[in-house]
Amino acid sequence: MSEMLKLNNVTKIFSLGGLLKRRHVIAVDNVSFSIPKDKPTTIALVGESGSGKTTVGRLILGFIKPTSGKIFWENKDIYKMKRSEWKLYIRNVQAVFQDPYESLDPRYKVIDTLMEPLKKFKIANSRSESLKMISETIEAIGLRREILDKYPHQISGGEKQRILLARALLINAKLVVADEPVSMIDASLRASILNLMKDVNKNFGLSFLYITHDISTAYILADSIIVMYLGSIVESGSFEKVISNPKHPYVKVIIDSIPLPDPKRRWKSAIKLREEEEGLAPKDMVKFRSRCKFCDRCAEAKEVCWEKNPPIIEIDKDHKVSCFLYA
Amino acid sequence: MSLEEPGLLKVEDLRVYYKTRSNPVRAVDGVSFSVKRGEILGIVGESGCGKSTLANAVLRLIESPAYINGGQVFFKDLNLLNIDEEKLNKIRWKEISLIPQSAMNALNPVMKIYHQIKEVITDKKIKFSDKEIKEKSEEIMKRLMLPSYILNAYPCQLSGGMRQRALLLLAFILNPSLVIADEPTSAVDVVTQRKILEFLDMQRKDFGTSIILITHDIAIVAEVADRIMVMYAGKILEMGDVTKIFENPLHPYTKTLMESIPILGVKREVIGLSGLPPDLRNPPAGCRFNPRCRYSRSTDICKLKEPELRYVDNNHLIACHMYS
Amino acid sequence: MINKNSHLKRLLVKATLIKNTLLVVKGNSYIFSGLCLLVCIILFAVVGMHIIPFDPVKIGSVPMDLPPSSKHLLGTDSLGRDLFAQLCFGTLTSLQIGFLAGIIGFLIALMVAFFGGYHGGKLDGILTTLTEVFLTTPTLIILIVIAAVVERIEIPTMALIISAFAWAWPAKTMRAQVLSLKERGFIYLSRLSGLNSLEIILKHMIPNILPFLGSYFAVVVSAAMISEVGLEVLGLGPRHTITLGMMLHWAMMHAAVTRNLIWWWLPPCIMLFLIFFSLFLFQRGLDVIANPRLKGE
Repeated sequence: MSEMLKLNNVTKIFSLGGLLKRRHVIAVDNVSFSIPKDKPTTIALVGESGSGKTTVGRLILGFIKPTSGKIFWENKDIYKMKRSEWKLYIRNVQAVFQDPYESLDPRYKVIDTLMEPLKKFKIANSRSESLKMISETIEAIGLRREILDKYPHQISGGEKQRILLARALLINAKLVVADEPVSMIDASLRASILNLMKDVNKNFGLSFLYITHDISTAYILADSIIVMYLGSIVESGSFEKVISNPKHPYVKVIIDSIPLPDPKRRWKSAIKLREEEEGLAPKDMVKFRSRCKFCDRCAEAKEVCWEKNPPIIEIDKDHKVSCFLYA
Repeated sequence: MSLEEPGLLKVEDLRVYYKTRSNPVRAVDGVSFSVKRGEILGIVGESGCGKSTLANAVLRLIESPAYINGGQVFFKDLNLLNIDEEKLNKIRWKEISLIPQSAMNALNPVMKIYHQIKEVITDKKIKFSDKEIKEKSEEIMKRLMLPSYILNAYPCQLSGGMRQRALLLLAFILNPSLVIADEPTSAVDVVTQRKILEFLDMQRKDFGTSIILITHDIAIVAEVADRIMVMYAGKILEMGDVTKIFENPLHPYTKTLMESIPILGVKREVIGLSGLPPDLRNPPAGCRFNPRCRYSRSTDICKLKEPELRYVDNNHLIACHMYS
Repeated sequence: MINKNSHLKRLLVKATLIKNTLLVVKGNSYIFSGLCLLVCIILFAVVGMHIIPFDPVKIGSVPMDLPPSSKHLLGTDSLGRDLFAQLCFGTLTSLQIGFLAGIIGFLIALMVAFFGGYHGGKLDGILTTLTEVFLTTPTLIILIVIAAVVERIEIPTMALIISAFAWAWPAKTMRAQVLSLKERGFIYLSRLSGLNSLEIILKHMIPNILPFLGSYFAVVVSAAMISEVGLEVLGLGPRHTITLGMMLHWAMMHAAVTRNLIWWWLPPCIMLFLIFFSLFLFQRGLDVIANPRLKGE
């Protein structure tokens, strides 16, 4: 099975501060996963803020470079690519961001925003051909042609997100990194965008890396899920398997804490978490990296959790967990 | 709209508008409801429905260009909109407190948490000793699952979730009888959200505190509220017992809201609305939800006459022509 | 239902258009009056130069110390030169130096701000340190030293010297704008569209902060002119031509104030004030467009 995108032991450490006082933040710690090539898929990358999920997205999009580790696109290291290969990579990997109001240049009409990548990637041979492609794509995603002549401030947030999806389709991207694409959109309006993403995934062959903190919306789209905590992957696998039978204590707590819109099924048992250490920044970076990241809040932690990195255990064909409880 | 029982808070026909160069924006347009002692009322609505404006108006905290264009707000027989500022200040935070949106940014960045608590208390001219303050704080902190070191910390040293809970601590320290929480969990992670909601539930059970929980997330209302109130375009569309309404939502908007939330473990299509909420400078005549309602027909009473909020059952009110 | 939607959208579009136009016009009344004033000043100077037959620079071309008359509208100075001619010619020369210095300074600031701010890293560190150094040096003193050392000061030399210190403040302010601008979503998306950094700066960043840039430019020109006048009043200006600052210098040298020769020292002051005022109006107008919140409600 060939892989489209592969992350190999990727680590990203940010150093903040000035000359005299440097602080290191380990945003992503030794993360490895891959996105398969054979059929279009949606992978949900789930975690709370500080988990490193957004940083993973930015690493994949090439906005920041990993401190160590490698990222492969179709088996080529993206930082060893020639200019032409890199341009192809950028074309194949597109993005949808959280804030639709910031995603379009306010001075460009929609049509100009869509023309730009077409021109830069030399996809169409003439302006009329570009116009034809743009009109067709716009209609395919359910927007009217009139929107092409509008400025961003004249269209709604949901429509803006759809235009970003149109953009990815237009240039024949293979992967879209969607970072919280619906969290700034009202609940009743999310459905149309989520359904569009599902449609685009199944019918146009576009794979998604859906980054979010909201597992429920990911449930609609994703085939598989990767859960991150403080920079490390704690559990991953098929979405159904992970949420119906979560193994990692953190994932168990998360899934248990999701509010259900059913007043008859309210939370019964108390949360299983230890709170004393919450929020304290780890003092020793090296020590922090050589133990389980969750051990100080985990109710089921054993002594070994503080001493070594937890191994990755295969519970099932497509269900992996990183925890000493299953070693 | 009147209720038989004397409530703790009673809002009657409140109207809050925003001045513009053209017509005023009718953000809250004739809203009436009440809150009993020891109950949690969940106000649900999407952006622009007027719920935050409503929250601020109750304590007369709205500023130009917003202004109150009518209505009454009764709290224990006092009309909060009529009394003078000094008297109202005595009520604020002591009897009614408000946790604003993005509360985690409302803490004073240059004061330790403990001193901010002290400041709140001394400002209301209450004489607690340092020991008493610490005791009361720690009691609430335990319920919020906040570690003890936060009292000595500055806000920037705490995570977002902890700052949010620190503000809840401030809001509950004087044991007010009513707390208005505006989106108290929108910027925190799922686990902190649960802690906050369970804390609100505990306060209600143990101290009889009434809570107005304002949110766009209908699921959290299902978890903790006793009654739910659905707002849209400045009006109340449906209101009543939370179990009844979740089981059997009557208003087309409420139905759509229920159908648009993804539920983990339940494979189904999510359906949403199309279009946008109306421009409240020129709200449509008749029902404000009508343009997006799936039951609307071309010649209709819905387009001509605004539906009134009426009882359709005991503790279930609805503003819809299909049920009058 | 469709009707209501498009009606609503048309309303929204009309409302936004009207709002935008109002903003521009309101900003424009400042911009417009500022530009008008500047143009009037220039026209006045140009026309004046063509009408008045006297040479503003040549010493002894007319009798000295004459009060204003129909022949010499502003009288003559103690070196035998017509003052009205000096006023007109001096205005143009001062403006030349000010704008030239402003343009050079602004371009330097632009490059420092964008290349440093956009790329970050070591380059940015070096450029920021450089900017800070220039910002904290006492400008006037160094300018005086340089001007005193340079032997023959002509217009371009003057402009270059002044621009050396006019670029630091706008560089710092523009860099701040660049830093916040580069985090906006559409800038990241243009990277994903295959644009290189120069294209992104020219096509997406600069057009979005044009009003700010215009405003900073006006400030730079004002600052340059103040430095210019400061140096000239001390005598460190181009000596073989006449500028407003040099007029004041000569006036002081010949005790025009004590001698109550108000027609010598007052007109250049008024002219300088008008120039600064027009630049201020222009800059204020651009500020209103760039930051609509300044309009107030």
